[in-house]
Amino acid sequence: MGTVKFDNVTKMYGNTVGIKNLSLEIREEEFFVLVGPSGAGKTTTLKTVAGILQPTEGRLYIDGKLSNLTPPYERNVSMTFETYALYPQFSVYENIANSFRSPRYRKPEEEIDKEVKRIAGMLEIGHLLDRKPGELSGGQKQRVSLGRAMVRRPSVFLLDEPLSHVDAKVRHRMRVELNRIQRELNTTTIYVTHDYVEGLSLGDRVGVIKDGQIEQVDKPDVIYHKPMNEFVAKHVGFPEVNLVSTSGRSHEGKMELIPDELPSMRFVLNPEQTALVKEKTRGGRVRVGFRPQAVLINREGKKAEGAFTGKVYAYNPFVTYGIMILEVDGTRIRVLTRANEHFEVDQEVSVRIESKDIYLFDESTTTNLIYV
Amino acid sequence: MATVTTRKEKIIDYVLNGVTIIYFVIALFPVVWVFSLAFKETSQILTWPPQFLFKPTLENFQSLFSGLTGGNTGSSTVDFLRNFMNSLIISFGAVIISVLVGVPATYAIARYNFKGKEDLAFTILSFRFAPELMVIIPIYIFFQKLGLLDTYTGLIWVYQLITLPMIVWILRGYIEDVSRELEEACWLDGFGRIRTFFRVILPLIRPGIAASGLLAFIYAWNNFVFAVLLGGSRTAPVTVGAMQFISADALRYGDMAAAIVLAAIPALALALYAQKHLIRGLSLGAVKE
Repeated sequence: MGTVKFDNVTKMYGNTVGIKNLSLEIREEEFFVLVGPSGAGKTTTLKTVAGILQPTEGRLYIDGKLSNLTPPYERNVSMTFETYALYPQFSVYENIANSFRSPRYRKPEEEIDKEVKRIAGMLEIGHLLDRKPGELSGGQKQRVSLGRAMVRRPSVFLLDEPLSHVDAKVRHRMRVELNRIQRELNTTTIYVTHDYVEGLSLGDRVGVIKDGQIEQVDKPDVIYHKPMNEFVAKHVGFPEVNLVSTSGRSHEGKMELIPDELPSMRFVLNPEQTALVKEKTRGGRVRVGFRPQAVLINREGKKAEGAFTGKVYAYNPFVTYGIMILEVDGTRIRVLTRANEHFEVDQEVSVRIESKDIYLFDESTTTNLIYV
Repeated sequence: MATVTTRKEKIIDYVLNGVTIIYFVIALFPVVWVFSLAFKETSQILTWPPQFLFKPTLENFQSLFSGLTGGNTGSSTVDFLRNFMNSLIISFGAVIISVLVGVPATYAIARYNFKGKEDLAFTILSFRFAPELMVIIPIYIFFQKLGLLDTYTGLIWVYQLITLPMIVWILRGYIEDVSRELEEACWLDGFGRIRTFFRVILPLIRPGIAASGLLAFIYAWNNFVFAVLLGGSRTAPVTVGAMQFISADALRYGDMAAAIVLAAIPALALALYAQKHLIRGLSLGAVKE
């Protein structure tokens, strides 16, 4: 129980694309996270699984059963909404118990009481059961909506941005909680968020979606370290990845990539990367991506391999890290520094980037060369 | 905390209060005057200067209920109690049918997209601003052929032109204000569409039903044109009944005033009753804005 399969599913809103040719399989007991910017089709995907929306084309299977036309009340899935969507006229207790009052999931009153109290205890909202949703804080509403979804045992949980409207502290705690609850209940979960940190930390697998199309589906560390294309690299990670267009040339038996706009900078490639560039690009034109974390401050003084210097354009120290904007040949790159470092504006800084830390993208398709 | 009031603010306060009092005197004077007429004898009504202090009498009410009126100016029978009952039957009938028909209709207009939706909604609204006299002749001919003249069915039917648009257009906003996601959540909880409607939508739009029902009732209660032309002696409501106090030989102000006072009671009572359903904010707070 608990598999979802999209087979080439398209959902159109009139002439607007909601999701396009989505093919995706979510496995039993998996915690699957869908990450993407707003308007990418995340909620559309969830509501299609819920049956609130029907696919325009393609097939949707839930538990192996073709479910395109199955109405929501017969799907045995439960969902939390970004707006919480709690019934204002009911108490918290009745909100959570609502599904047990329906013809489909009806239960005897003692069992309802037991289940509601169990889930309320788990979510630490036992003391709120008599209140109306209007009297709750954002975090409490959040928990009630989770409780309503989790009180019965559906095939699939659908969680739509459950943590986006609660404050940072609650978000942090709930993220850990969610992980624990999911392990405890072992129910297949599809979790939608625009926050990649949430996505990478919660998901067994993560799907990155953009303009209604899946860009990459993989384990969190693969998404982060081997992004499918420039979009995935940009969307995942903070500060945003640096991207430069480069041309390759041979130098002392090694291949070097030289950015068009930063001629004093060079990326010396390792043998595998050299092979990739030679085989898969035309004339060695490559887009190179490197994360701000990959730019290392060069303290060795003498010219290390691939080192280059720039001028500090701005430096923003935080308690646990610093963000520096470094100007090299008139182009600015983002650099993440350690805590407690100090840089002056216009100070000259020597930095280097190790070849293992760079991503190579095809210039025209922006696809990572390792996937071409 | 002490409130600091400057002289200027005080003066503005007095002026505003003064203006409000003047407004109330002007607005309430006719009401008070009609009310006082109802308790005056015919002779006191027509005296000049008008009397504000007088010994109240129930003579006018007595004559309303006895059916005999007029004192020394010649008598005729007016069955006011019957008019009153007619008004109740027709107005309540019209509002009840409008609510039963209008709530599902409004739900469809507010929630579903279908061809000609806005045209349909506008047509319903246009019943409200088309003058009654414009359509009365064709309706009269229809009613004559169908045998609906001077029947409750006929009047309740034609009163839908008054009550239905009111209900549909007021409720539309209320239904649109209920988040779609509440319904979607309820579907996922295992309720079908109709059950969801009764479980989620209906409780949340109850203030809207109360408000629009009350308004529709008042308009139906006060209608004159349809009632006078399509009704008859059997079905005449109070608005038509009151006209009979204008006879060839006298204008019976006292009886009229008494009839008005009585006729105002149901609407007032209903407003008081509906008040507890008119709570704003019932639907607030459960959905993240």
